[in-house]
Order: sequence, then structure tokens, then C-alpha cells
Amino acid sequence: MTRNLSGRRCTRCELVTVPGEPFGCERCGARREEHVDAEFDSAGTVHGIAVVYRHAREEPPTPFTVVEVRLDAGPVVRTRLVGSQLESAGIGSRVVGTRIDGRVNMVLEGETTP
Amino acid sequence: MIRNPLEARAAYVVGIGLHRYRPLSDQSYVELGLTAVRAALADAFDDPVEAWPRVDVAITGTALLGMAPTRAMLARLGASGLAMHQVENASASGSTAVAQAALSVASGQSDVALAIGIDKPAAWRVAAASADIPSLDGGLVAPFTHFALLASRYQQKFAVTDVEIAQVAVKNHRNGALNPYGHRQKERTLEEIMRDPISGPFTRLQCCPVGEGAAAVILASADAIERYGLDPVRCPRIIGSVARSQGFLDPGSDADSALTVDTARRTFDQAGIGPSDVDVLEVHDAFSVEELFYLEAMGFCGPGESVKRLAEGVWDIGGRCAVSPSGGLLAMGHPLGPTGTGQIVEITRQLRGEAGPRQQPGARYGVAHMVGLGAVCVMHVLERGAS
Repeated sequence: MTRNLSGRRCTRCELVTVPGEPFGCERCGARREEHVDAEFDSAGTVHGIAVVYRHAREEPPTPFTVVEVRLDAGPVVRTRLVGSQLESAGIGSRVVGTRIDGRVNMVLEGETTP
Repeated sequence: MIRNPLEARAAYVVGIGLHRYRPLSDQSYVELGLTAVRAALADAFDDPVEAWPRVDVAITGTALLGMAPTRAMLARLGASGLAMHQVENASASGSTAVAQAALSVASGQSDVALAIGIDKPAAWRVAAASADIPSLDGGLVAPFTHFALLASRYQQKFAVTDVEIAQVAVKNHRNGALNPYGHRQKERTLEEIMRDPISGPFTRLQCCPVGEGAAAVILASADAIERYGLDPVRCPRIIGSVARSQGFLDPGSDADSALTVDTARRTFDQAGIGPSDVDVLEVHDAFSVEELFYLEAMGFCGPGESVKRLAEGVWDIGGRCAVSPSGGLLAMGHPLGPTGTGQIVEITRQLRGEAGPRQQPGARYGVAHMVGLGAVCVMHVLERGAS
């Protein structure tokens, strides 16, 4: 489990982005020099969910589950949901980040990292 | 204040042509394109060879062909020296070619303008994918999964089932079975549609086939229609042409629907009509659920109501408004460049009363809607030719 996600915060309009926006703010246009590094708690709520049965690449093996998560800190991220109780996950489920091979995935809150 | 140039000088569709959409073949793109353009010239004018020099400008919409495809193709009609441009706007490339051709006529730059949509399957090279814009998903979210995520939220909010979404594909495959230019020309049962899952609620037959093809539309001014003695009844007028891109929305908003809401509002304002006036709609149904999203976003019904209207037959050919009578992207296909131009071909047929078994009775107004990766949205409104 990893509580921390790295991102950026725009000092002009306060928009926060995960991963950090590298070029300029989509909301107000402020250049990157006006953005600062920020750390966010990875906990959030499932906002969209899909089981993927066909995928162009070999990794990850199908089926796998993709979630759109609204982080408590504001940003919305899309990544893979992993764990042993995927069938119980749905919109509104609480999730938290977990790092697998350096990549941030999500697990249902209370589940241990696989 | 942004002015609408089509108000000052109208643009009319005078000729239409297609090369059938189909899986990748060995045939040259030049052959595909010439087939569509010659058909459009023959549709508009008595002698297409003699008429070709009347075309002042050609605009090619293509996403995958590569640099400079236009002259290599059109020189084979007789190298007339006309102006040539190429536009790339992802799935909306062919719609953008039509918009630019209409603008050329409206501005007075040209009297006769040709829009071509053409593509052959090739590796996608999406600029943003190599722009060092980071994402967490690591390429897991293909377009069908993007829309599957949106579908999950829609299904929960409005208690919509997978089968209700699949009914979009049942309708569009039924329409497509009547279209000799379509990629998929077979009526399918619900059971067939529900086989072979891809992502979320989508199955193979609820995802559009991306093959090859070509579509051509010739636009002209009223002066040109008179000069060349064309029948005005066969020349629908473009009364709305609007392109937009996604504006900033709070994270997690339904940005795809919001983009269509914005584009549709401006398009209907420009055309001076509303959704209830529309007889024929060609909509961006790359994945079945999109048709439901966009019908609601364009105001054809209220939020969450489109599955009920679909079940009632409101969107069928012969219903209140025929939606994707061509078969849409799901059945007619989505060869990228041709798709948006091909929508104008279908709407023109419908407004002329020449759509055969797909004919929507008494069609007067037709709307074309395409969304492109990015996202961008392009819409057109056509009005039946004056009798």
C-alpha cells in the first residue's frame, strides 16, 4: 500500500494534477514555473469501472479491471484495480493506491496488497 | 463577434460518392479515392470528365495516409491545377474536410469545392502519446475502455442494463444491412450482438470496425448551381457547420457529453432549428453507448431517457427521427477519414428521397455529428433542397 502520490499544484488557480502536469495549467494556462510539487493521499472513491476482456498488448493478461478514481484530494486518476475481491468492487467503493513494479494501482480499502 | 459566413453566401451539396467501407485490401488508396470522387462528379454533373475543371479546391480528410496524398490521387482526373489541402482531425477528419470546403464556398474563395474522406488501415501515430504527457494508466485505457468507464457511471445513475445498451447495435446493424456501401451488412439478433465481450458492456459488434474506404462530397454556391444548370431540389443546403474542442471541466466530469452539448447548442443556434425538427441524424456511435450519450447531450431527449425512446422505436427509420440510418459507425463502419464525409453523403441521399429501403419518409432536416480523439467535435445541419 502506498499512501502517497506525487503530483503538481498550480499556484495561480490551485488545480492539482496527478501525475503532475508538465507543461501548463489546463484550467488557467499558468506556465510550469508557477506549479509546485505536491504529495497527495492515494485514497479515493471509484467513479467508473470496467472489466477489460480484450487488450492489444500481452500485459496485463485479460481479464483485468480498470477504475477511474476520484481521489479525496481532488484529482481523478485511471489505473488498474488489483486484489482478490474485484467482483465486490463497484462505483462508490473505497480504494487506495498500491505500487506494483513501480506503477501505481488501486486495491479495495482494507484489502492487503497482493 | 464571430460571423457565420454561410449566412452571407450559402453552400449546397451538389454531388456525393462513396467507395464501399470494408476490411483492408491490396487496392491502392488512389483507386478508392477516384471511385468516390468520380461517383460524386457523375452525381452532380452530366459529364464528370468535362466537369472536373469546375472544381476550384479539394480538401482531403485523412488520419492515417501520410504526407501529400491528394495530388497523387486527383491528378488522375486530369491535373487541373486546383488548390489542394489536407486536414487531419482524428475521427472527425472527414467532417472537418466538409467544414473547410463549405467555408471555402461561403467565403467566395471558391464556387465548387470538393471534400474527400479517405483512409486505409495503418499504425496509429497519436502525437500526444509521444509528447511526454504522463498518465497513471500506462496505456490500459483503449478508446473502448474509456467509454466503458463512462458507461458504468451512466448505467448506475440511470439503471441502464447491458442489454439496453446493446439494442443500439441491434438497430444500427439492422440499418446497415440495407446499405450496400457498409463494412458490415448483416442484420444481427440481440443474442449475436451480446457475444464476444471486449470491455465493460461492449462486445465485438458494439465496437465499430475500422477498415478502408472513401467518401466524396461536392459543394457549390447558388451561382454555380445556376451556371451549370443543376437541379436545386437535389442540392441540400448546409445551414449549420460548427467545430469545437473540449474545454476545461472539473476532474471526473463527463467531458465527452459536455463537448457535444456545447457543439450542438452552437450548431442548432446557427441553423435556426432544434432537435425536434431533425428527421435524420448520423451520430458518432463508435461504441454503442455513445449514441445514447449524444442523443441526450444534443437534446433529442432528457438525461437517461434514450434507452426508453430506443425501445419505443423513436430512432428507427420511420420513427420520429431516423438515427444512424446508414448503419452508423457500428455497421457502415469507421474507416476514420471517410466517416464524417460519408455521413454527409447519407444525409444528402435522405434529404433527396434517394435512400431506397433506408429512406426516412419526408426528411427535411439532417444532422451529422462526429467526435475525434483529443477531443474535438464537428457537427453539420443540412436542409432539403428548395423545390
